[in-house]
Amino acid sequence: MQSVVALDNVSFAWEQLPIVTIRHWRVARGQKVFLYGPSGSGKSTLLNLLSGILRPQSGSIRVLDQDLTKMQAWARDRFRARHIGMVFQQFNLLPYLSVRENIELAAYFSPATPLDQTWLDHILQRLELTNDLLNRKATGLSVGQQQRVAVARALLNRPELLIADEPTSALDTELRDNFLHLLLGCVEETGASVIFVSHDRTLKDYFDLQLDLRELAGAGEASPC
Amino acid sequence: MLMRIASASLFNRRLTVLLTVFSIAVSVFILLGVDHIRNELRASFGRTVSGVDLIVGARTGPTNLLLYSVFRIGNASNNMSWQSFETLSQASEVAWAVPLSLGDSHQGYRVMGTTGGYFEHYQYGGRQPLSFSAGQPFAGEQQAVLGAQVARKLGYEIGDELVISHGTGGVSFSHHDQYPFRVTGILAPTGTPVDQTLHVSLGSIELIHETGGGHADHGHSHEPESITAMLVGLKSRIAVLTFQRKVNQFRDEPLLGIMPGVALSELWQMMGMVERALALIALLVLLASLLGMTTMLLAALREREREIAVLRAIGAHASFVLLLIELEAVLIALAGAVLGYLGLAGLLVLLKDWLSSQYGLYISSLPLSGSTLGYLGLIVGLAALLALLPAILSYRNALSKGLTVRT
Repeated sequence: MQSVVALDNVSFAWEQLPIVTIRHWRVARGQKVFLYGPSGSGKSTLLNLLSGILRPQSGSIRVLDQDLTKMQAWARDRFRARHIGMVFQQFNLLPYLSVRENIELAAYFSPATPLDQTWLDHILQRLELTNDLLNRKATGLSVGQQQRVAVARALLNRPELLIADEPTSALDTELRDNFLHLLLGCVEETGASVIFVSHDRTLKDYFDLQLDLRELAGAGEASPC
Repeated sequence: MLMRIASASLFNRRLTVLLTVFSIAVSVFILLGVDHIRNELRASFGRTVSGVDLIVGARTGPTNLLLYSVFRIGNASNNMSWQSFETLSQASEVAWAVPLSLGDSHQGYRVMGTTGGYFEHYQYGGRQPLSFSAGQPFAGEQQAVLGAQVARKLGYEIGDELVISHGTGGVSFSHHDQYPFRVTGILAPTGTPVDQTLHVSLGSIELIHETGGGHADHGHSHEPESITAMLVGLKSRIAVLTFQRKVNQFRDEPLLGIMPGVALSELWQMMGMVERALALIALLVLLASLLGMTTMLLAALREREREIAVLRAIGAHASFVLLLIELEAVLIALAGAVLGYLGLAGLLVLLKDWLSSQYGLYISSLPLSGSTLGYLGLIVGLAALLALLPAILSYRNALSKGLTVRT
């Protein structure tokens, strides 16, 4: 397997969502990609496509050599649960569940990977989350803690791909740097590839590769297809 | 996990959820209450009188005669004469005839003048005769036989003395206190208005109503001038219609003879309209409360978009979201149904004695019968059906919007 993500001739257009067309894109195993995506650049459409929630009208989206466009909806959902971890800007947790239950959800939706308590304890420790936080309600945590819990959940099933969508934009500078260190440190252990979307270019130095989403996704916009 | 998420999510919105549960509970309470009381009334009325072929009274409506003669509801507007009673009871078809004389009371319980034949011939339920739990029938004047509840509530025992009041109100200012009665017998409970009745001889009724002195001679029996109604048993039931015609065409005074079963079914026919109206209202109230629940679920959808996006991101299928909302609706409806059921059952237990002593209505406690379970099933099913609207809306959102949250 050369690449974790492989997109070819993907085009998607639907209702008010921005048009996304990608001729060719590869993300190598273990590669950490910084995707510069200001609003309106089709960022959320791309994330929906990569995670298998939306299906493109044409082209192929291969994740771990499996073509998402050829899978049934339930199979894509199961694939996402097992192989793709996701962290959002904010509100990653169900507010009425405890932190532990929020994390366990990831194992619940991926029956192939039973909850590995040793691994969970380890990443919680790596993410500087103490065990007494686990029984608290998600809303009882600070934003920084919530984001780290989201990372722990995203990495619980040891996914091969981690997608992070502006995960630092709710954090102040000091917390942000710390968060990025912790996030990338944990990812290092699993060897996962990372697609990190942000509008904050100052973060690009943490990553192996920098891409502008407008160039990537808008490449085919000029030529109608 | 679905269950855990649904219950935690509902608990998180407990105020609105609780109000919705209460509104469903109230409608379930009404729905089951109307249904149960209707069935109980029918059963209770139906088992009150049996073995009586004809009830005869002064001319009035059949329902009216039935209600005041057997159920002690309302009062007779006219009496029939003793003369007519004697004539009719001597007719060849008649096996037995018992006079009833109502109009007095004791501490809110009706006093009925009758003859010893009443205890022999009156039957209730499936042709069960009256039986004594203590003592025996009255043998003369100023003796009384108490219904089971009268004795229990007022704490009378054999040999106790009591005074009868004029009129049938709970509070009477005119007491016949120069003629105290002695308790000679207490009847076993029957679950009919007999339990709330004090039985005395017909002569006693006359005695306490005679004005002036001069009747110290207790030797002769007091014959009444008039009675309220009479119960008739015939030698052969085939003769009922002919005898009824004879009564209705009685020359000496206008009389009415009714067959208890026929009069009851006429009463139910009349009540049928009211019952159907009540049942319809109960259903509409239920529908309104379930629509309220749907509105609540719909209103919450927008703020739950984030929640749904999170679930989708971790790998939940869109149908998980649909099931979640359906499960929440079912839980709410179930909680409401159980609460309404328990509320009604509890209230019936509390009101049981009061209903029977005040109105002679014997309402048994609420059974978890097939029809009750059927109603509860209907309510939960209806809730699930109505919840399909918010559930399908969020399902479609989960499919198309995915991780995108409108902000």
